[in-house]
Amino acid sequence: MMTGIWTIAKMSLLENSRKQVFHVLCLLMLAIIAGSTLLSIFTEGVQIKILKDLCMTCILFGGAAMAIALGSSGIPNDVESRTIHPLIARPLTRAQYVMGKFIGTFITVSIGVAAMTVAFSALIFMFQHSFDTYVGLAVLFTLLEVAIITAIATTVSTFATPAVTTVLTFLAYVGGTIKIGYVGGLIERSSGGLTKALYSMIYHALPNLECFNLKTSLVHHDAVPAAYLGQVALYGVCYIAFVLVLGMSFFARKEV
Amino acid sequence: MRIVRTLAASLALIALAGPCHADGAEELGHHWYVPTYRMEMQTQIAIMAGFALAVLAASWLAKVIRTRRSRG
Repeated sequence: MMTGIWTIAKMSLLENSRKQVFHVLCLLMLAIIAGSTLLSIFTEGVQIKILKDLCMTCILFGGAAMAIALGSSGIPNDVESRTIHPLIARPLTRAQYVMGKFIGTFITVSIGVAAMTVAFSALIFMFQHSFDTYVGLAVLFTLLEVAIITAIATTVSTFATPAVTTVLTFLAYVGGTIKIGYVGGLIERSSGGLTKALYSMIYHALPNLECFNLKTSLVHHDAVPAAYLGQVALYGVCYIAFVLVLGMSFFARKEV
Repeated sequence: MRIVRTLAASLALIALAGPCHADGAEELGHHWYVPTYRMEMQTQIAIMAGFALAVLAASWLAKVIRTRRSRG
């Protein structure tokens, strides 16, 4: 079972790493991280804080953009180019195929995020003359957030076109980020029963992405309770598993 | 020149997005101290577990009904 998943993941990793969008996004984000030193020069005293804030936002946006761009095109491209037919003819279930695609895309995005993290850590070392241990934790939870976005993109791509998948995943990403502050406020302000029920449904379906944002912890060196981190990690893994199982069941019924 | 323009625009966008993001967070305080975040995570885990259990129960029921029909 694992061999099948790993073969698809390796194939997906190779395919994604050759895509122009991956190279362009990686280079753009690395250039922005390098360029952020210029912007932080203007703010005397809080240089390092601005640098950390800017670079972490950049890593998150870059990772999310890569996850959306690569995750939304993997399965539809295979279906359109009919390369999926010889794969499904082999002793490989559709669930294994979807799982392999997710893992392959996630590894590709992780490589991009790792490159950005190395550049970010080098900048911190340049400014602080020491490495920041909070970077690892913040990046690890950013990766978990990116994994959720990848899982959503992979699942939506099992029944939608790449363009629709990109839009829906982006909406889920934005909605998940502003969920507690904005969508929660909408529920409180709505008066009608039906509207309230609709908003509540959207509220509970959207991922709680703000929980994975430990940027403020990195910037202000505030310790995050270990129990909270454990709960966030468990929640992330559960959400990914749930979304992927949904995707697998959609794809199992799909005619390709 | 195009690269410089793209870089400048992206840098400005990200620089704007950072404080915007932080503005809401400051209003709420650090999210690890806000009980709403913790409660919402627990609610969502419960919903997902409930949904998975419901699907499992429905598939088990369908299997039982199919078996009984084939026997009868």
